[in-house]
Amino acid sequence: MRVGNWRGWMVVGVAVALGWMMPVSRASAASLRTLLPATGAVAGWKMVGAPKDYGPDTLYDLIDGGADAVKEYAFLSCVDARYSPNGRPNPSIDVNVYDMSNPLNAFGLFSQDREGSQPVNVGAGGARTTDGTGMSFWKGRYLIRLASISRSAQFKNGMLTLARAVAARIHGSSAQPELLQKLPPGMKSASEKYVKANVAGHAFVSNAVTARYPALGATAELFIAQFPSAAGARAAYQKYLAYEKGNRDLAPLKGETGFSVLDRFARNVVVAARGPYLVGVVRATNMPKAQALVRAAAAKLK
Amino acid sequence: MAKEKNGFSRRQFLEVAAGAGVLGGLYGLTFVGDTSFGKPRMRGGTKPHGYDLSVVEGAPNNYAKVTERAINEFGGIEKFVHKGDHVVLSPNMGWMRTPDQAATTHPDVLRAVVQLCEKAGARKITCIDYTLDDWKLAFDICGANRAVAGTKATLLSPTDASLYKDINIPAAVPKTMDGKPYESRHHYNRIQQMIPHDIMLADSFICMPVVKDHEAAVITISMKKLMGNIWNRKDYHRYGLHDCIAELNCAVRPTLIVADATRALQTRGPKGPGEVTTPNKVVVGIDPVAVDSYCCQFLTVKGVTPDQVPHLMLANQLGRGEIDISKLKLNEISV
Repeated sequence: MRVGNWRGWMVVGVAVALGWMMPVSRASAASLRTLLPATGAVAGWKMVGAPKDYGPDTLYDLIDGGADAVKEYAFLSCVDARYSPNGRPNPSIDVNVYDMSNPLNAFGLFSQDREGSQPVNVGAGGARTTDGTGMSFWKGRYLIRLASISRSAQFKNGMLTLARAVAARIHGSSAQPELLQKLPPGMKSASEKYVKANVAGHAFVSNAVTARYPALGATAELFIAQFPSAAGARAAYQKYLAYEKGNRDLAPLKGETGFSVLDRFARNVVVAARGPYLVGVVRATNMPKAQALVRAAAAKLK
Repeated sequence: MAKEKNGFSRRQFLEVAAGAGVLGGLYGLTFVGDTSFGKPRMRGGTKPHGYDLSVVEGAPNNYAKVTERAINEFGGIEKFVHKGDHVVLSPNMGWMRTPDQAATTHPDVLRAVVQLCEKAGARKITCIDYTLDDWKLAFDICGANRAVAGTKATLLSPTDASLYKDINIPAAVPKTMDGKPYESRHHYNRIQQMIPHDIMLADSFICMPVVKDHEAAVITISMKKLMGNIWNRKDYHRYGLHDCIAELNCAVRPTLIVADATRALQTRGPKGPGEVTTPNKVVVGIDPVAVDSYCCQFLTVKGVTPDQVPHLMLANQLGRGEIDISKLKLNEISV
């Protein structure tokens, strides 16, 4: 009897938990709609049709394979709306609002979007493609992407106006990851990223900030990955070392738990473990400079 | 002769049964050469001139000539398309994006290949891509409609399961990788896959990707492009995108690959809009790993190298192609 009661309570518990979770996702989608400007809220732009909601299981229907990258950052839900000057569907400006569950993830996804783009003053940080047909910005826990096929001044201005109208509806903090403060000086402006997984192309390196360092080559990149413990960082270090075995000039990095190597693809590579952190430089054109940068980064992690 | 209640004698029944058996057998014969056994019948490509890749660069107003020259430098279309062939082309045309936005194959490149196929005597030319955006608008905005106008080529977005046939991917995947036993992801996760009937029955299958960044797959060029030709995409995302792409490429082997690097979508792929550069090149080959590894150099904003792309690494380890471009014999020219 007691076992039966216990099972009964389990069933009730699971049902309550499911009931608690499902309204959250629905609430998330509903609250996203409140961030969209209604027709008339932005002069000259009308919403075309009704917005569409997407969740983790349906996001593929909106952005196909790009959904995997969004879901990596703890994506909750998305609302997709279209605006045009006359209410007709084409051409239009697509406005996609993504709920990324916290500011760190929103920044992370934005930092991927902004690479190579022009900065634009909207939200906590914005970027616009050079041709003016795409824009991304983040604020609070939200990432907003806007897109069009028109390069006209009307659409470019309309995109910025709509973006600012959405940003004005978002409240709350927009704190960037603390780990960004640990990046050494010399990085390319606006190249900092928060990368959730597959850092430097390796599945065993995750949860990192990265930045470009032009003094080491146009695509040279430094990463600082933070693990839950020093043991986790050392384990990742050993995997990296094993991966590089067989490549040319593999040598220990003096004064550090680290190595340098000439990788056939990633060129000059330097990696070091320090406490719960793994620091590395890839695609550097100059090995001594790469070693110096890793040492400088490791020193800041003390 | 005694008759049964329903009017059939035993003899008549046997005659009908035998007739049905013969008809059934004849019907079965119609499937010989068909794809019920899960293997596409497209011809594999060969390297007529000994080069691994031909790469031609030219001006933006000359993309058709650039494409034609790149194919000619690789042996000419006649080596890959025979008279009377059903040719399937697989360009990117699934997004409502303009050619300048570089999410789709340039219409001049597509048209040049269509016209070459016609010249080679193709009986039927079908351009296939699974569109997520509205297909009518996508085909129009990306220029695909314009590319095939006045030719015998047709455009198809196979968004209905009835247009697909099962393909046996595990059977095509090597059982070892780097000398160790390898169990395919498709087999381990029981992934059922289908590809369009047209591709299964094509004599010649030409993959025509545009070179793009891909937020999840790192790049999308010829190997990832095959995902525009399958029915079950979600399982790939669920069970291991890169493994599945590498294995799919073991089963579906294009007769020819014409990679459009006239423009390259550098960020926010596969749909964009993102940053766009113009390498102004067309790359032709038959080895998808080699084509894609070579084309990584065009993704300059993120500085992609082949080792950062797990499906290239996996496919190389499975013996599908060469990832080290220093080992490739290249034929690089400008026009």
